[in-house]
Amino acid sequence: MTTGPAETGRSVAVYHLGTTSYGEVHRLQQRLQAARRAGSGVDTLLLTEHRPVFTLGRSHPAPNLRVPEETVRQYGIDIVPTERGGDITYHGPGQLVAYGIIALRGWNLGVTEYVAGLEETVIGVLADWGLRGERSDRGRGVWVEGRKIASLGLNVRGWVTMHGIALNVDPDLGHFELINPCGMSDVEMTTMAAEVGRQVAMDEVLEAFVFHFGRVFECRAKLQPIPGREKARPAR
Amino acid sequence: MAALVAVPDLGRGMVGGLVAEWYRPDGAEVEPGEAICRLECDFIAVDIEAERGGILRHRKPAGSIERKGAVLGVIVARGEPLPAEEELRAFEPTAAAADGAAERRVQAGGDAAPGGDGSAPPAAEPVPTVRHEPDAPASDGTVVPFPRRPEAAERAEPLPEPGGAIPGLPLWEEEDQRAAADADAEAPGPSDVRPGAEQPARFARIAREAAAQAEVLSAHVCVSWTRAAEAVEALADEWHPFGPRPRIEDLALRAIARALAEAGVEPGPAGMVIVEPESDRSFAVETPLDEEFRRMVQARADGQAPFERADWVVVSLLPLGVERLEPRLAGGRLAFGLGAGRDGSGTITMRYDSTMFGEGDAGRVLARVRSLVENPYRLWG
Repeated sequence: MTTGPAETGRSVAVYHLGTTSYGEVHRLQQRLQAARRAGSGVDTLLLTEHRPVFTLGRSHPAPNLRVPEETVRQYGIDIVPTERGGDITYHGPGQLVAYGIIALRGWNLGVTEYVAGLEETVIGVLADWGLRGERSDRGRGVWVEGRKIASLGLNVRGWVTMHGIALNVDPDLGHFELINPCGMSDVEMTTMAAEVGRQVAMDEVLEAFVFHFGRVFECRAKLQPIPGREKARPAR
Repeated sequence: MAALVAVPDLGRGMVGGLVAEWYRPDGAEVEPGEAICRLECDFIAVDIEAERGGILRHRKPAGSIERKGAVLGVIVARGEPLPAEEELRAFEPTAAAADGAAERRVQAGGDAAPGGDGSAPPAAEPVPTVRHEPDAPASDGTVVPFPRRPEAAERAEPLPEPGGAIPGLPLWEEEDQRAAADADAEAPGPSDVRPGAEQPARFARIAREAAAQAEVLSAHVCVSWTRAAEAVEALADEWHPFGPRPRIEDLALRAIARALAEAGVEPGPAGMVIVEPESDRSFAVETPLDEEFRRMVQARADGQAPFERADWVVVSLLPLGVERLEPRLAGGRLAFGLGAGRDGSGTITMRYDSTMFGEGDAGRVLARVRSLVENPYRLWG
């Protein structure tokens, strides 16, 4: 790696949104993507945890559930269709979700390189905790010893990306049991906490994610304060 | 002039994608910038936008799997005829190549297109053949039937489906698969047979005790990896022969172990994680590299602690050229991060919990590590 942020001139505004409902962040993403496509706005990385929700990819409008749909409703979990690729997945508290709204043309990146970079970012984060993340021919995303720890789904329009990658830090894996994640019936999900064997602080994972994102994409990744909101935590 | 709707080049390793959905039907009038088609490729959905307004004519149906650069449809002005099929095919690099020589001869005979060799990217192709249709019969409002689709036999051979699990997906990384096949053919691979290959989860998982409530501090020291590399090179032959050929990380790990022992800290077994750029993977290895270190580890093992556990971890991003990293405490009480800058210098960062060292002690330990890394003969002296 011979270049750095200074050479590439890439920068990304990182927002930590805290715990959010899926819908509001989804609308925010759509707005940001539209703005970016129109040539305004900045490249943005949104980091958040969602309240429990199942989301569907465009190509799989029928939810790929292991239980009847009423059961899911009883849990109080919504099923939301989205425009990303891929099949059904779960988001919930304890899962770090990273959405990049990046104009790839400006970064001189292909979509595949961007996807590989997201995976590499997560692999870097896992390495910080002594875990070996790897890619698998079973599908995109990041796997630890054959169990899936991070899932990926993307939408690209006008070379601006949307949606992103979700890393299981310590979510309720029971909710994954209700669905066939990514449409695969035999996939076993795991979490960082389960692999490490102790609690993993979301804030530290978040910090590590921002660091590795900056490293992988050689960009200046800076955590921005949310206007009108207290900063969630003091600087270390 | 007609605008093409083609499979975009999504980047290295992308072969093609599935035409998942036409948002607008055949013959519909579209606005410039409108999303007209969704292409899917694994977990990526790409909305293809109309380059200009006009009448959209489909060329490939939804559900078909197309290579990069394939022309999925065209947008023509009202009344403008569709460009001839051969001209469209000239824009499809891979299809032309796959169609074989016969097809290409026809093409070359037809319009003697200089870019007809099929391997040039679409952008480099001469455009005028499609863009100008001077004697277009201006039959307003009529929809010209599209040239018939070639029969299955004459079409380009279907895309290879690696794995073949889900039709058309994933269409990734032909090269990667070839490389993987080569690697499989070569040997079981050193990483597979390395005894500690399954270590990381193990040493991370066992890390239950202590440290959680203590304050985590970090300290770092600058070192010259150039000097370390020279020393490793010089010492490689004398190095104890078990384990793989030593690298700087091995030296660093050994130096750290020695410095900790000198400081009166019982370091216990170590794990090492090296993040490598080509494989994008981290390896964990059990690292008793010499008798002394092994004895130290064994002594620990003979006590209560099981041999498998790693009490401290060294994370190396040296191959990535990251100047400094602060590894998280992976359950142990100590973690070291190795980072390297461009000029052969770098840092060793130590993360430790406050119950272990005072700050001055931490600094002294790191200073000792640096001295041992840069002058490794002291390890044997």
